[in-house]
Amino acid sequence: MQPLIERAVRGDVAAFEQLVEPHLTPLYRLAAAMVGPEEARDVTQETLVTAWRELHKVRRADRLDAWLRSILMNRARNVLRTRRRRPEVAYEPMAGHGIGHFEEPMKHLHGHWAVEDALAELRPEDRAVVVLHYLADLTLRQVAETLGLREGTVKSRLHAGLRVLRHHFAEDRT
Amino acid sequence: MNRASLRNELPDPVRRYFEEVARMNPPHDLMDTTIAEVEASPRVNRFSMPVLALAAAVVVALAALIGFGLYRTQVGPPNDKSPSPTADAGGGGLPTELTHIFLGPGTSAPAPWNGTVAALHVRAGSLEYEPDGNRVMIYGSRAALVGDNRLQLESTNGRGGCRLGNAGTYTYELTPGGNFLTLTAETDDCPARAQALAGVWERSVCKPAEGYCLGALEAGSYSSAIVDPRSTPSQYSSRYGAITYTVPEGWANFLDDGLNYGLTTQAEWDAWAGRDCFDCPGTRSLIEVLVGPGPARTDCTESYEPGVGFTIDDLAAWLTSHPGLDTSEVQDLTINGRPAKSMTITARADWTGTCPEDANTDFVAVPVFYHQDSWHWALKPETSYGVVLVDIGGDAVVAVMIDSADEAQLPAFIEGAMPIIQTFDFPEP
Repeated sequence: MQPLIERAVRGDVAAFEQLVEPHLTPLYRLAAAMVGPEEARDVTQETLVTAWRELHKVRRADRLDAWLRSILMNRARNVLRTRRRRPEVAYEPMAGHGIGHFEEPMKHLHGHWAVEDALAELRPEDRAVVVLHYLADLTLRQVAETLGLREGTVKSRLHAGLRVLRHHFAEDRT
Repeated sequence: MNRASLRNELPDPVRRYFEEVARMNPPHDLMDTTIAEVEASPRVNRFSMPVLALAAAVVVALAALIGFGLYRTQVGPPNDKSPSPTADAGGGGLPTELTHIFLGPGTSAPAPWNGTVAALHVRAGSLEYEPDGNRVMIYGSRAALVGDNRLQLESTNGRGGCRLGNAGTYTYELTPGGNFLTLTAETDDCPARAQALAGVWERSVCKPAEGYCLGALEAGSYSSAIVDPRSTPSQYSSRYGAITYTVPEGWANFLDDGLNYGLTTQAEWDAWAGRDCFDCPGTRSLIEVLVGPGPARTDCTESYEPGVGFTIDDLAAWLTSHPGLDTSEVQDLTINGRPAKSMTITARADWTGTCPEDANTDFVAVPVFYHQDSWHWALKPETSYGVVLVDIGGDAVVAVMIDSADEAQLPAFIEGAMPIIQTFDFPEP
């Protein structure tokens, strides 16, 4: 794979396509779990364009997947943080779920609003840990490497994320 | 615990959702549109920027930096040591000195919202209370400044026992450096909120912002919020006040997570951009508490060295006999009345063991401490650390690691660090 990277770094777009094509589907799935299906396409595409621009930073070909994941998770967390900066919606008793959270208009269209609402309660960094560990099936050490964190931090964020999710599906939401 | 059982930790709806996402395929045209975007995307080759352009870029960057410096001089630095609460108000009326996350013990909130740590999220025009690290926000309120050091709160949801529209008036005080916020309830239609909010809170200003460390510290006594030195590998917990300590001016707290707590100099904290590893070996000056240190296997296989115990006597003996270390004489001392042992350890230059420390590099390192399934601590060859092993009771031990960014200054740094370490306490729950 190293020659492909070298060719891509020198500007060979076909080599770049060949290089990243095997990673497209896993990246898209990660993006979908992080930001939802509506924005997964944009996040995946932005990730790959960033990868093209910064490919010279990859020092080991066997770390390409981890590097791509890192870029994607950074972009996804930025998207989530931007969402959180939008004005909050005050609680209206008849408004359904979404207490204190911005409710996205597309949520009800794909039948997973309850889960997406629960995931939206997580801080972006906790959501990243949960998604990488449970969806991408990475070990805590791999999650730590992907996010540039220590394993102790990953462990505590995973713990926090799980507590929120369990609380969301167990609590009496009155 | 194997991976399958870990997966079962997820609530069923989330697990099913992830299983569905794991079967999703990207839109059929995604690669084509991405490649079109790539072809239209300019890429600067960092090695081929013309010298003239590079010089111009440097000039522009310098001008920008100078301009930024002037701007900062005009508006006042964000860490102004003498905040004026009524000046520099945010968009929602609250002064910027208030718009932070503040951490507190979380014990005074009414059940079921009481816990072992709480975070108060104060924004420009709102306030929320996060009990017990749950990320579930309660007491959501609009917040406005209604006079010198007085806040008006109005409930925007019914969580935690308040009713929509419940009003409360509070006075607040910030210490000169802004590290401590004291809230006092004058009146509140929602007694539960008053019970939870009233008290002293510690400001959290971490890098990256998502952490819960305290950042720059004014002289005073502090409590940790997340770390619990009595956590075990099988039972992680967070507990406010699990470590307490006192610092003079010039220090910062850079790390507070489940198993580690770290202090550094304020100068190094201020200079850090928040991206690279702060406590990688030999790069920063730090005092770092490691929870539950065990003897790391010298082959770096992320396990404990067989036959070595976990008491401070066992660990001190292990360090002095470690084949990769030179150690100073072990000193017996007490830390706030608790038995402790201190020494300086230096990784031997002739050590050839290797640990994978980073995604892109392997480097020779001496594995010293290990905590099951979580962290290991290794030294680069010829680097030195001060180590203080403290028996905190209940079969729990912490290692306090002391490192200087300037290796030659380590003895002086240790001398300056010890009076702070002597104030460390590890209260039981």
